[in-house]
Amino acid sequence: MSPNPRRVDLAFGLLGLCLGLATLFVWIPADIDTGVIDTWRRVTRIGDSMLPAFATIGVLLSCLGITVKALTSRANPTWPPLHGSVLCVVAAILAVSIGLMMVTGPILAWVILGPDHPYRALRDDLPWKYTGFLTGGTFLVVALQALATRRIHWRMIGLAFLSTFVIAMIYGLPFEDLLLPPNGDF
Amino acid sequence: MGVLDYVLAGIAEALTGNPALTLGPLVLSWPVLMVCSGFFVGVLIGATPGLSGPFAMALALPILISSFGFTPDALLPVMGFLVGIMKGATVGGAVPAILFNMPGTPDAFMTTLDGYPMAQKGQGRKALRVAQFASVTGDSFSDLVLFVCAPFLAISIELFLGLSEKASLMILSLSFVAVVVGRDSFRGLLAASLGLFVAAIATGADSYPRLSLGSDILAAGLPTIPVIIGVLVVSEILVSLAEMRRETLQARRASVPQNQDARLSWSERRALLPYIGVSMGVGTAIGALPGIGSTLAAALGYTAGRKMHKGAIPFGQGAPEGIASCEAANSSVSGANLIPALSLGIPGNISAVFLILAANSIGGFNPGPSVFRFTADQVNPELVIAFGLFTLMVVANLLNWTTGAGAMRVLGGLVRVPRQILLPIVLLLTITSVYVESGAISDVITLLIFGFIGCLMRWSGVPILPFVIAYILALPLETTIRNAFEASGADPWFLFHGIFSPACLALAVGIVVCSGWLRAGRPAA
Repeated sequence: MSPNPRRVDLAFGLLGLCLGLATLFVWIPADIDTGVIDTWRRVTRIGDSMLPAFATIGVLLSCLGITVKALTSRANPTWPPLHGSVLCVVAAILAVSIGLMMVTGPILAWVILGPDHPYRALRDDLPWKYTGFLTGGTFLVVALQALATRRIHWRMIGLAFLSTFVIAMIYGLPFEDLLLPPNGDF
Repeated sequence: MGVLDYVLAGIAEALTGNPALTLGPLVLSWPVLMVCSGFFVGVLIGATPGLSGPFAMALALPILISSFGFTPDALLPVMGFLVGIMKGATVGGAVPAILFNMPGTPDAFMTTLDGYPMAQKGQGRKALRVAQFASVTGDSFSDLVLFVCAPFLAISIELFLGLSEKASLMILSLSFVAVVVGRDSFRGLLAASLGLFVAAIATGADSYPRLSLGSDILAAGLPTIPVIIGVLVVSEILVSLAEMRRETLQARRASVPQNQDARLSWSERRALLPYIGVSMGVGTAIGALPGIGSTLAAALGYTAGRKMHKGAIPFGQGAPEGIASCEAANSSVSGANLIPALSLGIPGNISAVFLILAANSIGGFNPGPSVFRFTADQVNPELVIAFGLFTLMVVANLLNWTTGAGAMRVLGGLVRVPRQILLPIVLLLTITSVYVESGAISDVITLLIFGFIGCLMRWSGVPILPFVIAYILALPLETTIRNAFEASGADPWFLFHGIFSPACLALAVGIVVCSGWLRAGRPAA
């Protein structure tokens, strides 16, 4: 059973109110040295708290409005599906692909050349410059395509590798000084 | 230097400064080359179902900055490319709407109403011609209004408004954007407030970076480009992928053989002009107001056209006047949207956000009233750049007039890649662009975190545009308020002196209070 959208609106407004109050009375005083108005050596000026304090008051007022509207309005607000589980999978795919971009080059260099060659000296040379990016990029594209279409086949992998290769060439050929992400960037 | 000298200097800077290729007396400058490239890339991106101008601008900006660097010479090529994309994507956006019945943006939905029926009758190419003619006419008119209004508005502001008035004007614009964008005024205000808050992290006048929680990563400040691209582009990709997983989208394609007679005669063009005239007036007026966007303009232009129409084919069943009405309206928004951006430094739409972002990243050009300072004794380089930018907009329009229809026909047929194939590649390209621009993995992480924050905002109905505009405006607003306060001698009522400033603040409050009435009957932007 899906939750009542008005209750979700109410919970959203109340959550915003709680976070806003915590920010206004705890975070801002604890993490900013000067108040909204600051007087130092008889010079009065606007302090660093002004912008975040007014922004937080804006958050509080708008969340109050959302809460009151949820309590009083008869119209049912619309809440689209969150796709929470899909977004968690996407986050995992992104983490794995960035991890692959970072570690593929160093691991391959360690396996092939041995531990005596520091990777920092190699990472701007062929093929090490592209190994991580091609592996991680291909994984990212294939995994997201498979997630969206609920299937996987060889053509997808080929297309993903080709597109990653083209992107690598777009950056790698004209800009020799650029490093592709994030090759051994620990 | 006089006004004419500035105009001529701007034209010369755009057309001959920073040469890319010299053949005897002929010079092809980088700005012209880039605006032409941007235009064709824009048509290609706009014609690709599922992509749009802001996607291309987001991808291009880091690459352009990496290529041209941070010198003043980079300003016109970079901004020229972005302007080219903006114009190309506007005209190219009609292609998927007409041929495939796939509106890439909400405003292109109105184009599908008559464009797709025309394509089904075998008149797809003629419909593209009508769209291009209406689009380029509306765009050119809107640019002319920009060229005249932006300097006048900026000079008036510079002459008559002090710091407190400027601060009040920014608050008014921000309130307006917050209230009119999205489905709910409270959520719009929430988005703008969050934008101001995020911009406050690790900035400020004190030596301790505020709100940094003692973290070294936060203390370095949030990188602007990853934050904006993350919340705008990455979130859109992630939400689209999730939705595609839920319901497999089938790209509908026009399989009807297309009639080869795609010509648009002079008499047909003349018949369309009244519709185009009304719609471009509506679009320009709406475009000059920050944040409203082209969706409302397209809807109003289409409604006005339908009321005027007395032809044989009714609107909604393949009337060329329907396409002309909405295309002229949504295209005329883009130039006028730059009026607040260039004269006030307030971005009115996403394209203006990227232009301001480019200017801020490169330096040497701060959009706002000071740009249009006609100094006689010494050269104002920002004014030369502004007139150079106007020249590039004219170049893009000329290109659109001469090659737009051909580009739509050729490039529009090229791209038939399904979104589920395209979007992961665009995400990889986005990540790569951001990493290459800064060389820091922390920027990629910021990009992705704000991508997920954008997903949550979209889910909860909190609109993205007020967040982005508030984020861009926050620090100029804070600086103006600080300076106004100090200039007033620490008067706590510094925002309430005179007439203009209190009027702006009263109007800001009024807009927020009357937001329900303002939004009545308006489609969500």
